[in-house]
Amino acid sequence: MRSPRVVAVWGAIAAATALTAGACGADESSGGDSGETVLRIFVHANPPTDSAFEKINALFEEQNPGVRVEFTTAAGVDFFTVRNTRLMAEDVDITEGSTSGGTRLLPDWVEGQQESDWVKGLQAGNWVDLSDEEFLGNFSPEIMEAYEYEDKSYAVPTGTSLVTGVFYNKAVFAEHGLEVPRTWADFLTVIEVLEGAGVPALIMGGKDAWPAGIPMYGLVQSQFDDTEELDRGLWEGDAALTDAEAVTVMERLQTIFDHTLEHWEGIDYATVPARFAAGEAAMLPDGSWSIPAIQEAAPDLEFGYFPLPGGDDAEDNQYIAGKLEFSLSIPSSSEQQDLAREWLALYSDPEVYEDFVVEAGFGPAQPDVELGPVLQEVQQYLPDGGFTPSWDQVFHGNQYAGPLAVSPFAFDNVAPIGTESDMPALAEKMQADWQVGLDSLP
Amino acid sequence: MNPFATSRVGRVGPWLGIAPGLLLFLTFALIPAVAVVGMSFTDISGMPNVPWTWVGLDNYRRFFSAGSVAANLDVVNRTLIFALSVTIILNVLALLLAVLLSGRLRGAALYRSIVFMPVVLGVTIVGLIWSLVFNPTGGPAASLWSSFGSSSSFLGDPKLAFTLIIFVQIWAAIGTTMMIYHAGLMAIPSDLYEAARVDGANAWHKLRHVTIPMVAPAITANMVISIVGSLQTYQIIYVLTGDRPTTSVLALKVFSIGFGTSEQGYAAAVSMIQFVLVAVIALVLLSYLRRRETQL
Repeated sequence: MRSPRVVAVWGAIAAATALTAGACGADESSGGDSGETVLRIFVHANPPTDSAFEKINALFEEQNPGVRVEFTTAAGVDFFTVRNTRLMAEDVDITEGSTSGGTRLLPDWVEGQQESDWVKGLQAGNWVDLSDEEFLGNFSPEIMEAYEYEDKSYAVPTGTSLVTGVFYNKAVFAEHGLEVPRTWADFLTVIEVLEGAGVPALIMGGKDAWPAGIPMYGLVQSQFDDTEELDRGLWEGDAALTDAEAVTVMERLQTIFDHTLEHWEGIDYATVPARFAAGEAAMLPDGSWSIPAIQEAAPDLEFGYFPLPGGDDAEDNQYIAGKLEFSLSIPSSSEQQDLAREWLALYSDPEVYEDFVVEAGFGPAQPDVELGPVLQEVQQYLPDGGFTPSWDQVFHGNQYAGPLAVSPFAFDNVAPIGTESDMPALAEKMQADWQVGLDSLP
Repeated sequence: MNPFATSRVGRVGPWLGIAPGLLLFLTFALIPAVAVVGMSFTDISGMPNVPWTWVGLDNYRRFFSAGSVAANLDVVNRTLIFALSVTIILNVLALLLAVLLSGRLRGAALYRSIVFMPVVLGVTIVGLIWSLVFNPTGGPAASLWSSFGSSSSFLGDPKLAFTLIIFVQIWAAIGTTMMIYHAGLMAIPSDLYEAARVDGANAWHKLRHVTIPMVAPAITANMVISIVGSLQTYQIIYVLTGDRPTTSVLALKVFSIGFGTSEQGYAAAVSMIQFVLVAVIALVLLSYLRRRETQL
C-alpha cells in the first residue's frame, strides 16, 4: 500500500504534466470538437484598422458557415517577433508581408546592406504567389506594381498614408483671418498671427520622439527637388548633409520645434489627436492615419490637411508625400490557403474595401473610392500618379554609419527632443557620421 | 545523489526526482544561452527559411566600428551610471528605512507594507503611474513645479529624463531590498546592542559597529542582486521614455535590436557584450564584499 504522501506527489506530477500539455495547445486550423474551420489572421495593433478588419471578419463568417476567423494583433516592436514566431510555427494564414513601402529592392548605388525583411522572405519562398487572383485587378496598377517581386504579386495592399502634411483647425484659421500657407514665409506669418493672439501654433507628441520626424520629412520634400537623387548623391558622395539645403532643413525644423506647444517634448503621441481636436493648438504636423482619431475625439470639428510649406517657393510645396501602408499576404506554410484567398477576395471587393479604407483613414489603393471629406480635399495636393514617396521611403540607411546619420536628418538630436541647438554644427556631425559609414563599408 | 543506496531504485530515484527540473533548466536556460553565443557569430535573422551564414567576429566588429563605437560606449557608460547610482542609493536608503522600521516605531509593519507596495505593482503599472505623475501638462509634478514658478517637460527633457528613471527604479525596487535588510536586522541578537549600550555606544556607534557588521551578508546579497538587476534593466526605461539616445542602456539596446529588427545575430553579439560586463562586475563585487564580510 503506497503512502498518501507518495500518491499525492505522483498525483500532482500527473496534473502538472496534463496542464502543461494542455497549455501547449493543439492545432486549431481545422476541426476541433466543434468541427469549425479556423482562419488565423495576424496584423499589428491599430484601433482603426482593427475595427475595420473585425467587420470584414464578421461578414466572412456570415458568408461561410462553419468558419471562424481568429483575428489577433500585436503592438509595437512585438509585432515583428510574434509574426516571425508564428510563421515559424506555421500558425498563421494571413499576415502582413510588407510592413511598409512595398518591394524596395536595393538600388545599385547602395553597397554592403541587406534587403528588407519582405524581400528576404520573398527570396526564401515564404509567401504564396497571388498573381493569378482576379481580385488583384480591383487595385490601382501603380500601387500593385510597387509590391511586385520578379513580376509576380504576393501582396494585397491596404492603402497609402500621407506623411508630410499639417492638420489645421479651420475655425481657428477663419477666426484669425488666416489662409492655408503656401510658402515658408506664409507659414511663419501664420505662426506669428496665432501666437500674437495667444493661440499655440503647433502641437506634437515629442515624448515618443518619432513624431518629431514628421515635419522633417516635409522639409526634405520641399528643399530637395528629387529625393531619390539625394539618396544616390549621399551614397556616391555627390551630396552632403552639410549642403545649404540640408542645413536649411535642420534650421527650419528647429524653428518648428521652437513654435510648438510648451513642453511638447514630454507629451505622449497617443494623446495628441485629441488635444488638437480640443483646440490646444491650431496646427498638428502628423500623418493622415490620425484622421479617424481626430474625428472620434471631436466629430463636429472642421479641420483640413495641407502640405508643410518648407520651401520659399510655393511650387516646391505643392505635394504631400506619403508611404505605402502594410500589405496582406498568405504564408506558404498556411494550411488554409484556399480559405485565405477567399477572405482576401472579400476584402478586395470594392464595396468592402471602401468601407475598410474610410474607417482606417488610409488613402485608397483602389480607384474610384469615395473618400471622407478631409481626404477628398487633400486630393489637390497629390500628383497625377496619386502618390509621391516620402523621404523615409526613399532613403537607404547604412548600418555602418554613426547614430546621427542612421536616419538623416537627425531630428531627435534637435532641442528640446535632443540637446543640439546649433544646426550648422549638428549638420557637420551628421555628415561626419555618414562619411564614416561610407568609409567603413566592407 | 545517494551513492550508498543499496537498491537500484535508491540509486536512480534521486535522478528521476531532479530530472524534470534539470530538463526544464537545460531546455529553457542552458541550451538557449549556449545558442546565443553561437548566434552571435552568424547573421541569423529569425525569419523562417531565410538562410544564415557564419560571419565570425563581424557582429562584434560592428559594435566597435568607427561609426558606432562612440555612441555604443556612451550606452555602456550610461548603463554603468544607472547600475551604480541605483545600487548605491537604493541600498543606503533601504538600509536606513529597514533600521528605522525595525525599531519600536508604532505602525512599523504598516509602513513596511507601504514601502513594499510598489514591488507588487509590476513594471508597466509603475511606468504608467509615473508617466501620469510626470505629465508636463497638468500632472501632479508639473503642478508642484509651477508652485515654485518653474516648469519642466520631465520625461521629455533629455537632461532630466535619465535621472527621473533612476529615481523611479529605486522607488520600485526599494521594498524588496528593505525587506532583505529587515530580515538581517531581525537576526541580530539584542544582547549585542545591550553590550554596546553598556560600553557607552551612541546610536551611530551601534549602527557602525553592531548593525552593519551583522547585516554584512544581507549587504552582500542586496548589492549583488541590485547591480546585476540594474545592469539588466530595460523595461522601466522602455515604458517611461522608449529607446531614446539620451536614456538608452545596453539591455534596452539588446531588446530594440532583437525585437525591433531582424538582426538576431547582432542582437546576440550585443547581449554577449552585456553578459561579459555583468559577469565581470558581479564577480568583482562579490569577491570584494565577501572579503569585507570577514574583515567586519
